[in-house]
Amino acid sequence: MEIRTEKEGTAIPDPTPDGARQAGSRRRPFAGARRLPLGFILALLAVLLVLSMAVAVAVGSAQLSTADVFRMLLNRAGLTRFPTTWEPHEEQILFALRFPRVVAAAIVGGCLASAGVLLQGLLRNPMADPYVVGASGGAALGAVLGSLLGSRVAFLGFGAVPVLAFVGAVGAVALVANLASVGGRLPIVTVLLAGFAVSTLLGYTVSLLLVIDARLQLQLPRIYGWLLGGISVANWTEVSLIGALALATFCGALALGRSLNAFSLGEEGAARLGVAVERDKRWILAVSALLTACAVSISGLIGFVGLVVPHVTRLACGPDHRRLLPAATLAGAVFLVLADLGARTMVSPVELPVGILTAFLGGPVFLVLLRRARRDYQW
Amino acid sequence: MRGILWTAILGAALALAGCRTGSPNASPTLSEAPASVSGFPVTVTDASRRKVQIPRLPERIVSLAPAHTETLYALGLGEKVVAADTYSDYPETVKAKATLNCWPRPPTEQIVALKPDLVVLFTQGDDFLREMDAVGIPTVKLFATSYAETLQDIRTLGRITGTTATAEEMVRTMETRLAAVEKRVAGAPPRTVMLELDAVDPARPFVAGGKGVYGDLLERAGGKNLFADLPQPAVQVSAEQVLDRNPEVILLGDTKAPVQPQQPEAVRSRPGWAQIRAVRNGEVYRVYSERITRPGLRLVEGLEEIARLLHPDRFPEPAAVAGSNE
Amino acid sequence: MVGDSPLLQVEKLAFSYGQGRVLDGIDLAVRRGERVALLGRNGSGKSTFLSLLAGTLHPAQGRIRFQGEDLNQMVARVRARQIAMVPQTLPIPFAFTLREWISLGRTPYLSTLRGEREEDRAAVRLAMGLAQVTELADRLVGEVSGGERQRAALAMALAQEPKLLLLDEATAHLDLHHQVGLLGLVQRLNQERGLTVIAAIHDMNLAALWFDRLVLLHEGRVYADGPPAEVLRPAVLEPVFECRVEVLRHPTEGVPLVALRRMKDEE
Repeated sequence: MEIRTEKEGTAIPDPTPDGARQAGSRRRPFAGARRLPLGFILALLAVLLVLSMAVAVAVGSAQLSTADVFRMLLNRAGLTRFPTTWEPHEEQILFALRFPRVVAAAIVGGCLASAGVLLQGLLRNPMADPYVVGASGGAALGAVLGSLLGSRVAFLGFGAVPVLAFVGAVGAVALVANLASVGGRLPIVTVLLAGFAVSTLLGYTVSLLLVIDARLQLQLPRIYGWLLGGISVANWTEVSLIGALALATFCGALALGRSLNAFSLGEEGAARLGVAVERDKRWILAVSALLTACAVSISGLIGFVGLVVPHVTRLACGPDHRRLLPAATLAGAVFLVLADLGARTMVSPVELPVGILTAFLGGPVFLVLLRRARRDYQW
Repeated sequence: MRGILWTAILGAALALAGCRTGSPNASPTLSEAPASVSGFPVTVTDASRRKVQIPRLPERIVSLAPAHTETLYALGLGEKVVAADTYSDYPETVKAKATLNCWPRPPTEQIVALKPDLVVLFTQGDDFLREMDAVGIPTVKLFATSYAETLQDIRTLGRITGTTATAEEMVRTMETRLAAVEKRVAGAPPRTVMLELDAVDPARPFVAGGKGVYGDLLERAGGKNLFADLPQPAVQVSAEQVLDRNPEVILLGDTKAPVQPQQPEAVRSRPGWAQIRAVRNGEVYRVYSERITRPGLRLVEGLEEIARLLHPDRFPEPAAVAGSNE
Repeated sequence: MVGDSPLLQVEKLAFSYGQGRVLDGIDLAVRRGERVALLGRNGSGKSTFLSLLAGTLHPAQGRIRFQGEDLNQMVARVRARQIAMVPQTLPIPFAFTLREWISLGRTPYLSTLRGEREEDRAAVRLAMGLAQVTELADRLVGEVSGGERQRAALAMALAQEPKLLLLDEATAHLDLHHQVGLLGLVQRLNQERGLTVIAAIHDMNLAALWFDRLVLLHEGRVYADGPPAEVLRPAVLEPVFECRVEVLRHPTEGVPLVALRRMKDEE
């Protein structure tokens, strides 16, 4: 009798309904439970990046012959001495305008994608993008103030807008982290809400400035363009400086991969695995802020890359951040190089803001992938 | 997060971006044959394709565009202008009345409170016109996109303010001076010229496109607009295109811009630009942008200035107008 | 001396959330290889106590010594190689495969930049084998059943190669089959590999069947501590749980069997 009572005792139902479980086990998950080797993925993406950059350098608003482009490149690299069969201005278009811009696009794409990976991982929120913790508002305010300072201020040959956008992005995230800090801890929900509030406030500060300052009103098309994003670099100094900073920051991001993985178990779970939770949270915020700042200083606010590229890469190579970070960074670089190529050439000689292209290219691709998963999206 | 930023700024930005790149409207036409000076009421079809009736001779005029303000003053109506938009700064005497901040929207209540019997404007949108129509204030939108349309608009302003004769005289003067310029540059090989309106981002400057007053001026002054193939009045182009199209002359309309004014030296130091013919030959000139961007009386001065810069050999005598290339 | 000293020595441990004092002077010693069940009412501090042992909370007063060392002074990564915990549930924000998920247990062993080494992979393989999830290795965490996921969580803890395993209501959401499976597995690990286990558990009958020492927490202190037969007595349970119980004898296992009685109104 007693045994019977125990057998009929309350059994809490299995949290996963049987039907769903079986459906899940029958159907091969789209993400591919078997992961491709990281080396293969990275090699593939690196080849894609080189190819897309080659195409982006060869094709542009101005019509240069592809053969000439490669002769010029080989000559410049000191490998060959082809006779100069091209116009001097064509060489200028290639080396002064197009090439630095393609490199800059790759840097921006990589920065945005890796910052997106970091923040999605830290905040465990699929909607997180590089701008979610205030960077966009700070960068916009910085850029607008930079527009006011104009050419009176220059830093290593590039103007006030990129410098102040950079400072604004980092400053806004620092402000958010400061405001969200509760007794030495940084609760995620508070970070998200403070990021929302700070971003909104700074965004409307920009609007206020635009309404009350007549000089800025004349700048509206420019500011509007900046908000839609567009790759713009003053010179190679800017490209190499930002590139070096981005690379160093990215190495820091790689060192956080282990902690990011542990964060998927929640903060307590990560703490149980010996992760210094509060310290690493601040590091992740700082590194993502720097990466975002590098990007916005070159390109203004380009949307979609930092949100979608991490998701698409995760579908292809799994959520392990030590794999995801380098893969998403390369994928982001490829994506933005191609998007910028489109921005430069689609309605040439007019330029489209690259943000329009990232949305038009990235949106449908992502939607197709979501549909093909044909089940609840597990990210 | 970007979404918020967008809502905050986008709408406003669109309003102005639309103005800069929007397609030109039809030029106004008189809907009735010219009548005597005091022939009110007058009915005109304006750039918004509305028929507007001005019942009496206007005594209190509000101008929401610097170009129209200039024309009204030139027509001797300075006394009747009760207020103007904040950008109206010519002639000097209007500055005290230039109190209406029209961005992002004209201050409708302020305007109505002024009890105007005529409002003239340039770029404002349909919603503002509907409001003015609702309160019954005659409101005329004049949006010229060429030299010829500018003359038409001056005529229209004359008709709706009872100053037809003065307006006709102004128009005749402008036609005469245009003819003089065209005569001088006639036969000279047209020179490829780029008019830069704003280059805060030198990677993609705003330049004069094919449709619009400035593009028209370039052609009439004996130039060949580098971006005449583009259908917008002002358009943001890729710097690659500037290098590739390689203009003989670059005119800087943004040397007095409130933010990041450009100078010929700055153009030379832009990456790659030193190759351009205009830069190599020292043919990067400042132009006085108010004379070329405001479709009003002074447009002819801008025309003469550009012609002189493009074809100095056809203008051996020193410039009559001071301050043209300071 | 080291061999004789307890694995875990808790002295006058106190902890409070804001105003409410949850633990108020816990003294407890656990020897290597013991299997301890923590009993107590809701809010009696079982979970708090386990979090303090796992190092995710820090004591307000008192001290926890692990192998003679103050737990609070230990480097977090070193601690995580000694003590692992299986919580009631774990969040699943990413589409990890079970193998990847379980590999998270190796976090305290990984160097900053280098990936898993062969010994890490071996530890994960062993843990998956012990928790019987090897065939599920390539399935996504979000797509396996609750019981399978809880076995995987156990495997993750085992991949930490801990000396002390903490279970916080790890069987609460499982049906009888999976409860028996998980606790049987824990018992085997204890018996065959000498793993010390401390488990917070609500079901006293499960505790009696699979644990040889029961610790009853009440009002922030250790109210009773001993083998099932000593702790599971009406005289101990009734004042703590404020209900009437009958304690029978398990017909085949011989351990106490706690049965509820309806409340006073029928008396």
